[in-house]
Amino acid sequence: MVKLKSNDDKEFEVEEAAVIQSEMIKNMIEDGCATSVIPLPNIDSKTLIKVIEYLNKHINMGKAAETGEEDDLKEFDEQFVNMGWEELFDVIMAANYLNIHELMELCCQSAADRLKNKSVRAVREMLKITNDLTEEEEQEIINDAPWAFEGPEIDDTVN
Amino acid sequence: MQISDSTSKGKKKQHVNICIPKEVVAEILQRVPGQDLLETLKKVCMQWCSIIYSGRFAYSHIERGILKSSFSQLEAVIISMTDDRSSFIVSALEWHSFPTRELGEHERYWKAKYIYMVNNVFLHRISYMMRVNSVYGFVCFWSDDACLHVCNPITKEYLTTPPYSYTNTYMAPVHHQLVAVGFGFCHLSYEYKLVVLHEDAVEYGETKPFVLTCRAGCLWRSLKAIPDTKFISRGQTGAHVKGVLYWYLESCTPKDWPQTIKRLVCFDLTTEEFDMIMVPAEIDGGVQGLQYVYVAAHSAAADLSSINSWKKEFTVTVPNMAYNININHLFVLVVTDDMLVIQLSDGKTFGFINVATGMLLTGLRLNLSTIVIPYVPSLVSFAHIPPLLGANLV
Repeated sequence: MVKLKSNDDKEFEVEEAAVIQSEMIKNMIEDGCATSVIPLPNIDSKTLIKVIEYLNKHINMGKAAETGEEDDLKEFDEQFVNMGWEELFDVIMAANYLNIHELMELCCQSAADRLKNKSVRAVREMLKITNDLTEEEEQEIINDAPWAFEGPEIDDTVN
Repeated sequence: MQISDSTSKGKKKQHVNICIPKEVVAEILQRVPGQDLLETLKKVCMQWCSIIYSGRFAYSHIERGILKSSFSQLEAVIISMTDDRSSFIVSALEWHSFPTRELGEHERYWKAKYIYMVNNVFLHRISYMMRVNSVYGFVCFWSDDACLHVCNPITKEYLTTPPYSYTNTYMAPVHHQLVAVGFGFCHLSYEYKLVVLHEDAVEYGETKPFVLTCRAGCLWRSLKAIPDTKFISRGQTGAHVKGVLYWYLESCTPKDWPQTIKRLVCFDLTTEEFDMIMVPAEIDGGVQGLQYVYVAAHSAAADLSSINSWKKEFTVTVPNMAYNININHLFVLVVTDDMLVIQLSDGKTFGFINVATGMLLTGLRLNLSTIVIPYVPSLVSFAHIPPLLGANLV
């Protein structure tokens, strides 16, 4: 068993088999740094509960394929990402921090799917993003300011 | 995540208060199709705009597409000339993964979507266009005014070259002089280059190579001719693999005379030098040359003249093909993990075959003023540089 501590000082016990899906914690265990409680200063308890729920369900991913529990897992995943944007971002941030590849993939894909076929306004409202573009800038982007932002200049010395 | 609660309309240019790191936003945006990114999401805010326009993002977006390698990631464009033969129209041929319930009517899952039109681009009224190939989301085609055209259907960026030859007469039409043509990316100078092998009708027998770097105002440069070689093949398109173009061409040298031999002609886009490789006799499957090139790509830097560096990936059998065709006259256009695109020798019929089942997914018949080029949609522009050179990019 491994003990994880959220940033609001709550402790959670998780099976080692589940928790090593996090590359970060796996490395800590391998290096022998996980003898007592692992503090997770970036993750609150609400998000951590969600993450642990995912980790427990996804223990032994390989076995699921053999025993035909794949559909069950798929259904779980669908249910799992059925959450609000704020919660989803919290989980993505946690997955990013803990380096849980599968969870990151699942949540980012869900976020991406929600962004498909939406208007600019809808996206801003959904994510509560303030429009920081001036009207001129917006017009410029619409007119396809050709790759103005990071496009590296190719100089003429090659050739 | 913290949210800005300032809603005052007059205040623009204020700091966006969402504490999502840029990498995480990029991770999410990478999974959104290119059209959405370019049509709407780039306008959301400055941060998103700068992410979407960056070269690193554009290339990893294709990389993801290639890794996933599904039907919805691979698309095809239709280039068609207008009735007055002076302009061309680019439209996307989109296909979507099959819903399991209704199989049968293949056409139902196809959508041809108008993208844009390029006006008055041909030098004269052209009568013939030819597909070249596609690299990193750019598609390239040739027109019989001896010009090449490169366009990216997603970003709508396009480039038309000046003609590489003016000897286009009734006696010597320019497509009879075209030996081979290719489009590729040089990983050292980060430039896209076009290569033409042109057999000049005036100086009969000599095949001249020309190369052009895709940049505004660039002109064709003449390269050193390949010595003592007469090419028999005409109008061949090559495969681009990691900065090298490959064509499978029939040629004749004084040694071979009177026989002609098919060789793999390579062009290194960095050094701009040609090389000829004899393909082992065992795999000389005639027109399936392009398919084998694809296969050999996995063992880069291997000795292609040895049979050991070749792997027979699969044999094309077309059990469900409705057409009465001769399998020896197929041109393999694209092979992905799950799809093979072929063109029949009549030049206007295309077949899309599922690699796993060998089943013909759909056939497509086009008229001669239209060409189809399969490609992976991408946001890459000519100025972009890939983040990791050649990593996983085909």
